[in-house]
Amino acid sequence: MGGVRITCVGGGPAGLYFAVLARRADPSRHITVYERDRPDDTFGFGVVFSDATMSFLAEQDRETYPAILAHATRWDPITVRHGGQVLRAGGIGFAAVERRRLLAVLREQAAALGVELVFQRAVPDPRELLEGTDLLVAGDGVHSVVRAAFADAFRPRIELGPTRFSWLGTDRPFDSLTFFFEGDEHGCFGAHVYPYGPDRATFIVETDEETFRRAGIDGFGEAETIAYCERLFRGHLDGHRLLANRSSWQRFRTVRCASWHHGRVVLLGDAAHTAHFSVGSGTKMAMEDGLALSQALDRFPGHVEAALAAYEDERRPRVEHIQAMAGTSFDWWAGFRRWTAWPPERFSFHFLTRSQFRYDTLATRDPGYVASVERAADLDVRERLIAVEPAGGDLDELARLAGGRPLALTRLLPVSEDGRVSVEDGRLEDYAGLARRLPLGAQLGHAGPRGACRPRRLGLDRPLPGPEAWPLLAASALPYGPGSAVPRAIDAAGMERVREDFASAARRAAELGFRFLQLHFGHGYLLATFLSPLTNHRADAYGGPLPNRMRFPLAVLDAARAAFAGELAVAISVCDWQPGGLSEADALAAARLLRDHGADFVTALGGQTTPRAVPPYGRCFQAVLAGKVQTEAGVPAIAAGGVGGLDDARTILLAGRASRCLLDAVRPA
Amino acid sequence: MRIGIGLPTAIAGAPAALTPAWARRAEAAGFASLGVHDRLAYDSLEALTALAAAAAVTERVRLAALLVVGPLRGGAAVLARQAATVAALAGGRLTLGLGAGPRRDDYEAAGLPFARRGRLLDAQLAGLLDRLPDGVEVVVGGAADAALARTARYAAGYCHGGGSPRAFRAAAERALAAWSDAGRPGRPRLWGLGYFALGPGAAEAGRRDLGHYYAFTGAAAARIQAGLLATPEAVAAYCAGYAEAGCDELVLFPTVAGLDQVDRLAESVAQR
Repeated sequence: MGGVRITCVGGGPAGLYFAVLARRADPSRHITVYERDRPDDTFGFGVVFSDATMSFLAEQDRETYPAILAHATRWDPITVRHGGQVLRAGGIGFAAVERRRLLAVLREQAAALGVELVFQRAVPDPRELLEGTDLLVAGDGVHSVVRAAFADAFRPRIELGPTRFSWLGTDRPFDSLTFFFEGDEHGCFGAHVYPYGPDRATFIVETDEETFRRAGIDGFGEAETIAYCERLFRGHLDGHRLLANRSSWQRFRTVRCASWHHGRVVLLGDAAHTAHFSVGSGTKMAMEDGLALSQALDRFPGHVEAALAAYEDERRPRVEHIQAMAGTSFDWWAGFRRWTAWPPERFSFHFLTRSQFRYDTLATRDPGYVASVERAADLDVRERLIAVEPAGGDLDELARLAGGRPLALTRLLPVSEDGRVSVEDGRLEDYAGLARRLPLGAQLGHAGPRGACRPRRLGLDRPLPGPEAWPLLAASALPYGPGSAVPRAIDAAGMERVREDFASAARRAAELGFRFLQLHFGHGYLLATFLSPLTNHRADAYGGPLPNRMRFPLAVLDAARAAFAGELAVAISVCDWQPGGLSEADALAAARLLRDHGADFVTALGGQTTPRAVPPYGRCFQAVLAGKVQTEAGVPAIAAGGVGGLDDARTILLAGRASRCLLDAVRPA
Repeated sequence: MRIGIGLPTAIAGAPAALTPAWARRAEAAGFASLGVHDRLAYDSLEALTALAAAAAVTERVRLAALLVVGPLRGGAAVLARQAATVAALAGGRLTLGLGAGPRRDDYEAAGLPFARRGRLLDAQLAGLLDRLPDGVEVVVGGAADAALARTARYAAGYCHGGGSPRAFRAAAERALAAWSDAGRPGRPRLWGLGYFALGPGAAEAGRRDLGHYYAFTGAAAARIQAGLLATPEAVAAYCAGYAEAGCDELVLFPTVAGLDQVDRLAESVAQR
């Protein structure tokens, strides 16, 4: 029986690959693919697959995928050409296929399996197609007409990226995935080069908006673009040409949808989601979508809507992971002009560690490359590590940590009784003696709305029963979490007292022999509640725009700075890791203000502004925040978060993202 | 690293009476814990009820729900009472693992919105800790960042969903990073999972059962099947890999319903 009718809109990799797999799995299905263009009108030169992609598709599909890869060009290193140097990091592994070839293989297989292919047929109204079909599959790309027709259901959000790029090609032979960076009087340009044949490569030129405007590229036609880029990159082209193929200058569109399926309609590939091309995942995601959808239909025969839900459940977490990685990478491409003056080794390492790779993953693949980076940096990483006492307090462990390192910090110590998180918090005086003998730093804070809780070994932010609790303070009278006590919005007298408590604690720290001070203005504690718009709703001179929100934190810093002569760091949540939080511009401005008021370092924490924050946990997960403070705000940064050991510190420090690294208190075995 | 064994509560065709017999045998064989999974829209024993049966016939072994899909029990009150009952029957030997669960059909069967599962679990956890008796070990599982944030906020440990020792290590690194970032004292206890089928003909039956159980994961089911531990050497290597990756307690779940599986696993584990 069977005879399910499936209509695919769009004859790109997503739709065609799905059609092939679905028809092969069940030849009774009637599958029609509509493509707006002619069979060979394809754009975009070559497509890239990474090693990891290949293993997954290869495991699942033993027929079509091998046929596609039979035409692939493979290369192993990534080459970065910058500042007159050529740096190669090997062992990474990619394959590329000419897009036209990929589509030819898919079309051939689709036709052989009996899929009906209809070319030069635009779809004016997708709703009409729905009439005669059991399932409507939208693989019609970033500008999907199907998505637009059902926009109320899919709720797409399309974000225009901050860069400008043009998709070109070249006939210059390349032996690896290659990146060039060149400047002219207008600014900086980068080129992503993906070779897909002996004398063919995709050549994408990307630049920032200001450079784009200064260079007057806005009005360029194809010929002018080619001429401009050929002149810019002539040192790398060895007399070869750049080739155009509908090569206008565009801003990348990141597509996200609240849902990918609606009734009998489903989105695949770019129609559902896009990720900046610098992570090379567009075609991979499209094909994995096609595979997952085909398999889901097999699992739920006769239940199209259940199959579509299963498809989305399976694919969404993977796609969102790639989109997050691509977001970090895109951010690098939006800002690379800041780093082009760096030594080429550091620049290349910063580039390669922007989202996917770390020191250890690169060192395993290519020890020679990593050694060259380390030689050029000439940096003693151990000298820049800061350890921290276990959160529950452990003087013996602190002494051990400080014994072998240039600096170890105490756990967070309250500046006053009402600034305690719990009754088990420590006191500065506990460290008398130790601070004279060892290189110690004191961490000072005031818990604010997170005070009066049970000890944290029992969980975070569990309020003490009323009779045992003490009154709480915050910028605004907002409880930290749903079960937390409501704090009082601090008044002028309260501020004066807290300022004096910090000054007094700083003075005592100096007297006790501490050589370093870290003021904790992050994680939703008292001073953090001023910084973030999520927690500061004040209408007076301490609320509103950033300079107002910084007024009290800076007053506290001034008082502590005047009382402590040694090095001083201020820790802030550079990012709240939740919607509506501190903006990046405000975070960088805050870091500069802290420096201007005498902070030697800004420690780049994130999140915990409220319990709803969800940071992207993992190794070095906040290195990107430190990097913004250090290289964009120009303030010496201490990186923190997921720094488990030397390799993580090397990842961060060799890339120039921070001046120091704060090791996690709890580290892998 | 301690090693536990799963109860046969979610193997197709396994009789319910096998569970208490299995629990006794596993305790006698020296396993540290007895694990159960939790599903609603699947032919299986209810997780906490099965643990109550195991509690009644054992004295020493820890009883570990890995993981209970918390929101399926509504808010905190019902779940807390159920867990407190099992803990009381077991003299406190309960590990209550909680997750939002990856299966839409479970939520549909319970009449709950799958899309809100994370928020439902957060609200449940917020009310749960104050209602549980002392000594119940709360563990959280899940791969999402939100699951790691929940672990650091509420739990005493983290439970990984199964996979290679390398995958476990990567997840453990994330859990430790979250724990450290939250300023929690001590370390989270790290739990790992695996699946085994030992003895003649067991591998094929085991893989079939896993394919059935994990059909909802789509393409990932084949990978899970490929990870089935089907020889004593594979079990020993898996245990060694998990120990090296920092696992505190590894629970190996059966995929074939036969009491000989308990003995075979005990022998394989003893060989390491």
